[in-house]
Amino acid sequence: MKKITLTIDDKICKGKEGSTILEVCRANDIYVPTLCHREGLSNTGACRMCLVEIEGIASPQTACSMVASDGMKVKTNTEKLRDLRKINLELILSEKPHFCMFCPKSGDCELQSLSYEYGVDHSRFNYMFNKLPIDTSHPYLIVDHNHCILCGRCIRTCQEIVGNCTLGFKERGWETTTCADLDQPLGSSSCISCGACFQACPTGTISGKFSLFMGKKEDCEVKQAFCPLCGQGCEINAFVRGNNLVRIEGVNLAASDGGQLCSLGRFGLIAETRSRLTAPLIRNSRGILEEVSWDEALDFIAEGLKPIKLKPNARAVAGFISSQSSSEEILLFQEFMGKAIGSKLIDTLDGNAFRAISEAIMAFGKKRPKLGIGCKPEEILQADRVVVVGADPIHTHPVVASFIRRAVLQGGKVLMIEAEKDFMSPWTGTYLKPKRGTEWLLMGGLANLLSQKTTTGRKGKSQKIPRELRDFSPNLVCKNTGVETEDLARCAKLLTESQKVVFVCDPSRLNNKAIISLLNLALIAVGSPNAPLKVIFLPPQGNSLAAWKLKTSAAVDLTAAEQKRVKAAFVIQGDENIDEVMLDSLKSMDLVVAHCSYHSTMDSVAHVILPVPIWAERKGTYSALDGKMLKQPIILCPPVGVKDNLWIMTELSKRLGCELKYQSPRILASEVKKKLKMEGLF
Amino acid sequence: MSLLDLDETLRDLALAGKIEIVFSPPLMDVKDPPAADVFIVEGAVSSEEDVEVVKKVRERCKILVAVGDCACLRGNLTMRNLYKKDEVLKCAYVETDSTTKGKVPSGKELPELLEKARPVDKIVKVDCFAPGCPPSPKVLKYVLTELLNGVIPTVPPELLHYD
Repeated sequence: MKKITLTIDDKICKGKEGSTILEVCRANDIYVPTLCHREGLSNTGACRMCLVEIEGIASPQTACSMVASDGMKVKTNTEKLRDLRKINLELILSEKPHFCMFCPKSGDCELQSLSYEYGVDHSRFNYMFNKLPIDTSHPYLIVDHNHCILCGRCIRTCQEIVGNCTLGFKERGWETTTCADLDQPLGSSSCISCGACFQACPTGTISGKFSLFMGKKEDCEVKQAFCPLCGQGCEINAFVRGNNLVRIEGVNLAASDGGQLCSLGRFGLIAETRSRLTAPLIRNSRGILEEVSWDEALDFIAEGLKPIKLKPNARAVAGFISSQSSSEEILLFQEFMGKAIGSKLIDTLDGNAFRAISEAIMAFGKKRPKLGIGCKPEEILQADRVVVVGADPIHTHPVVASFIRRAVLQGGKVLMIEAEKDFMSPWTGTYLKPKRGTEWLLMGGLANLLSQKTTTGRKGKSQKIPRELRDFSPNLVCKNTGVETEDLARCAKLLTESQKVVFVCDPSRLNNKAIISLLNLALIAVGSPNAPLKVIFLPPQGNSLAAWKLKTSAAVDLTAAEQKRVKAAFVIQGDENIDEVMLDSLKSMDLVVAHCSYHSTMDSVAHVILPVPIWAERKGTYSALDGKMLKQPIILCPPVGVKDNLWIMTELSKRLGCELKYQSPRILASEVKKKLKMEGLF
Repeated sequence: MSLLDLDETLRDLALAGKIEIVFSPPLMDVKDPPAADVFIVEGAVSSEEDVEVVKKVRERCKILVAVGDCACLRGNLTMRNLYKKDEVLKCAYVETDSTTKGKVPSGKELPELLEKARPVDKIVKVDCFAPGCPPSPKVLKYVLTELLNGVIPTVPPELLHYD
């Protein structure tokens, strides 16, 4: 990258060729005020705050949009510029009814800060008082057009970072406002509620209902943490005031995901409606859960386990743990079940997803020992074709979905394979709808056709169809899946014409056969025998990857196979909601001990419920879906009465007559670090 | 109230004989604004009477200080500008829940409401602006101190606030 030299405010400044003047200023610690500029977004030069004087050019230019050239002489802070900026602010302030005294953004507002900085204590212009609408239709956001300066940051964020293109401008001149879709109320528009626009808005135009008047940023403690929900591992700034989570914001605007977060992480974590458990509960003789002390609860559990013989290979007690738990808790639980209970029957609550993947990989065994599944979500941005199999990323992994949408906006195409419905609509280019359970057959058919055509065809050699794929003849495939032969052929052709194909799949919706087919297809699509497969498995929970890596998930579905023999179960549920199938299998047991944070459907089944901290109240290590290790700090103090899993399992072990290896959080943490250092997923 | 918030400063200035308050409707029963060095005006100019008073004040003082958001920029008193004048009057005198058979008052002695409530500088020249809702005691202390030093102050950015 060629370097250029500018003279800014009589100071020699170096910059990279192709940078804007603003970028060079920032790289050299020279301050230029901005309003419509935002890191990570394209530049529009709409607000005119960043005007700078350039020698040889008659009128001041916007530093954000003007490309710097070698030898330029720039002034950023002359009296004329200060005057222009002041007039600009007075114009903006007089155009709309900006009432700071009851605006939720007052104190954090960029327009207000700049007005203070430039000493705007009155306006030479007459004030306009056009009353503009306030849109409160959205469950999380309020759009008050009376504060809008039309910077367009919300629109550009929605388009360029989130890829959803919901927001835009309408009307012209004085009448211009932002709007959603074709001027729908935001609550009934295509808005996906990520709130990235809320964070991008410099004024109080877009505000969050749950953060309104809960405290200015300076009133809050800011904790750097990670969202624990889907495995993307988005960095967050958690604003805490008086032990309440007031606001969650994305952090790294320059990162590929632009710190956009999503509705689950930004709002779902704050707008929690479930009620919290704050005392241990035991089901009494009348079948009703009643509050007891911790001692009573733990004694009850120890007593209840006595008739169920605990031998070295006890097969009567099973343990299930949520993959949203930290790696430390998972390791601890394994130790507890193994040593204190003596049982090897342990599984995660998302074990089915794990088994689908691991069985598929084992099937490849000798053919391809090192399967090398390596694909970061941001690689989707370079793909010209994204194959989405059995996944609904818009709802389950919104940031991954944003990469897919952005790929489409850049000209890429989406192929959706799913039995229920087209989850990526309207972004899907081609949709194949096989009958439920025949996804493996369909992908096998595609792989068959593909292997006839190109990857090898690229090298000029023609290759026979691999023996494994010969059974997937198009006619057979189409007859059993319900997909037309022309559609299948067309898809195969599209795949062969693609330069870079990325696969996104949800293992919790597919079985191992489907995943074998998927991996076959990916192998053929990738072209070269040793290149890593571009496959992204969407983990069901935030820490699924670590849970699977720590070998927590059982090789066999415990609920089905062991149903008759298992008499008792520990369910470390945490913040999760438990699904119907799991709940059903627990109903027949004699003793179900659940560690939960909230009241849930488990209330109707468990014999003992122990209140545990939520994600924000426990420290731990998590593994993001690309393998990155994240350290979660403690953000909030748990309510009185709640105890953490380490304390509970230590106390319980004592009552069962044994001592756990892991006595302290520090020991647990270092053990986790050791175990997760190994390469590869499985 | 912000003035009273100055606490001891106000007492010290008064005791030192530096400030003599000659007119203040909330504090004393002087009807007509006399001549003075400094006039501190708060609130928006909303009726014809306000226009008259503010013009009189401007004539009779050397330095006019506008205090508070309503007087300087746009404050609560200007919120009625979002509606038409007759809508506002009707809402206040006819449509309130506790009124029956309400009527918008009118008469020769009643000052007419202006179409729009305006900040003071749109009617007369203002020498110093001290916005805030309310302006903090720090802002007022700064303004008074500078005035006593013979300087017409401009509130610096670090003391400026609109809320």
